[in-house]
Amino acid sequence: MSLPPLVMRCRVSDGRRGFPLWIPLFLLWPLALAILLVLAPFLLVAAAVRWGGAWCRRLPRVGWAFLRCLCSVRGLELDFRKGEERFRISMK
Amino acid sequence: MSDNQKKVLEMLAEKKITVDEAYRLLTLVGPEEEAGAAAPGAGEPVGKRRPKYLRVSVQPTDEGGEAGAERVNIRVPVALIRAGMNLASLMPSIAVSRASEALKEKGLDLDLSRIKGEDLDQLIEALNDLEVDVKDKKERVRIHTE
Repeated sequence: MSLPPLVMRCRVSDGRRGFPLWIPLFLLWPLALAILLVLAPFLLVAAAVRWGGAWCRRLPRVGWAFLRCLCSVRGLELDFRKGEERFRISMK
Repeated sequence: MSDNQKKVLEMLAEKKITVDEAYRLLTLVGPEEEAGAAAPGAGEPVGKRRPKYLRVSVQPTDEGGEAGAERVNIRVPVALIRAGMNLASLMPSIAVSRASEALKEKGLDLDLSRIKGEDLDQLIEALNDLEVDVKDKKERVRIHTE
């Protein structure tokens, strides 16, 4: 499994004007990890209480699959152009 | 830079091939030669390389290339397709049946609940041979792996 995307680059332009947007996703991941650590005890208690449910047993696999999805986004590029207008997103 | 790479760039400069085609050729030529240089005979044949990305591009043709024509160029990592289908296979049955119904309404008769891990691997493997090139008066749609 590769690293999650570290930077998201967006570019919007209409031919005359345009602006690039550089979103540092690497700043979000430590924050997300901290939130997950804070929530972990509550999640564990909830899982222990509701362990009988099929959905609850499936939850760890779903979480792992979601994480893999997130990490696989790296390399995604979307580029749309109509005349002079252009919209581009790339995940690095 | 190898002779093959130079030839590709020359063809691009002479406008015999498009930028997309040049990029594809360079990606095909580069790794093969590097692998061949590192260990002769050890590199996999180019056709058997595992695809990394699925490229979908919609370009206006020469006749339909008016000023406001739409162009779309999407590069999707194959790993994302694999991970997404894995995630889809874990969806609750209610969500799967609803998604299948929605796909059927759009003309795609695909039962997501029947997709298994080994099917996924075969599907990803088959992507290597995928090359769709549809052209009409206005647009050209290309789907290929790289």
